[in-house]
Amino acid sequence: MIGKLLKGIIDFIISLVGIILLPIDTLISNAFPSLGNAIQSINDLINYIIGVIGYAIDASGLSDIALFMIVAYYSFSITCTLSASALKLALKWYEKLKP
Amino acid sequence: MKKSFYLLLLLIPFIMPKNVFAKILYEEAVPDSAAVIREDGTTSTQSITAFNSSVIRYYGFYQTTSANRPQIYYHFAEHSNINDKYIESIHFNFYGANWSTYYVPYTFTLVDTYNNILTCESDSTGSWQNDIINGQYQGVNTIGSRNVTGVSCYGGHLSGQFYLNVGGDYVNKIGWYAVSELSIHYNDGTDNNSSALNDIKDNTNATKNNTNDIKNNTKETNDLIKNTDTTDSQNSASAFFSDFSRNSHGLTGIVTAPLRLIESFTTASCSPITFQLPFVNNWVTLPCMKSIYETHFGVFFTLYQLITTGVICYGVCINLYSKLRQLENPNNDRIEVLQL
Repeated sequence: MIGKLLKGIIDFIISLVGIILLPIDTLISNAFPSLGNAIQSINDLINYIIGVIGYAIDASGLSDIALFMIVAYYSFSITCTLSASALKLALKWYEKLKP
Repeated sequence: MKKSFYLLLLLIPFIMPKNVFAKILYEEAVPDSAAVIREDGTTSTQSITAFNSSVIRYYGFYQTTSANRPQIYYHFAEHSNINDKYIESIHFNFYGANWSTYYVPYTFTLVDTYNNILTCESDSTGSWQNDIINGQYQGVNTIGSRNVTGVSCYGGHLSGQFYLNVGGDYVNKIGWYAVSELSIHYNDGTDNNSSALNDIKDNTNATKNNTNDIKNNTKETNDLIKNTDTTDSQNSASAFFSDFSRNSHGLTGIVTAPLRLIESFTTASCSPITFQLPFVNNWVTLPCMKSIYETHFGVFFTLYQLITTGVICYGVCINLYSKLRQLENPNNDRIEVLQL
């Protein structure tokens, strides 16, 4: 369940970042194709690293408990940071709009 | 105390059971004929068409100089309106009218105790022989009225007759004019006490069914709460987040790389890595190491896992505490995705 929730939140953030950076990405790919190819190379490297991360985790010999703690920590960090930031933003708006 | 009284008043409509009271249909049975029986025995009959359609009224006008008292005679045979009905009451109204210079009789008396009778062919015989109407007339007023109760004719055909005697000291001197009204109040038998009890029974059954529904729903809710199967929730969560598009190209791919790395922790599984060695052109396959560790290092690998797990858990706890302290700062509203 935590994994599903984490995956959903990460997908949401990635989608949000993609929307924000879409004009810049479009500008780079159209105006600076060489720079776009360089950035794509970096992405390919990252994707390769992510592809072998399973092997790396297995090779590190970390226990399931340790992996669970890492995932739980990042889940908490993402969810609580977003929730607290949204709450604080709402409170700020309320303070400004309050007569 | 006063508030409690008002509260009780407010609660009365909710406390009283609904649909308990009998609904009486105030209908009027139409006699088939009516007549004035003169003092000399001759009869002046008025047909049914002469009656007022809404209220059964017989307008009798008669002049006499003798001492014999005339009578108004009503007769109604079986009538479809009152067949198979519960007779709630039979009501008479008698009016005297000031007919110009004529006088009207003092009293109307329901007489002929042996002739005034209602019969029901299959149920019971109700009689009202002893009901005497004595009304004093002064001006244009109701002379008298009488309710006859206890006549039931459910499941049978009602028929009957009655005589109304015109009395008073002045009858033998001059004429009179009177209006008599007859109305029979009945219901169709569906709203009597037994039907009210049936209503209560139906309401009780409906309440019981509702209670059973609530019990079943509660049981379903309890079963749902106790159910540890989260498959549906996971599928729902996956379905909710599946519509978010992912872009791993351009700057987006670089910025979101840490997030994808974290995500891979939960989804990644080990698969042997195969690659080609340069210069010798041989393919090498690196197997998953965990099984090898467990096979060859045994206790040492367990000890290693214990130490690393402790260190990681300690670091997680420290960072968690730090994160909570950051969240306590009301001015810290940064969302640092890259730092995650």
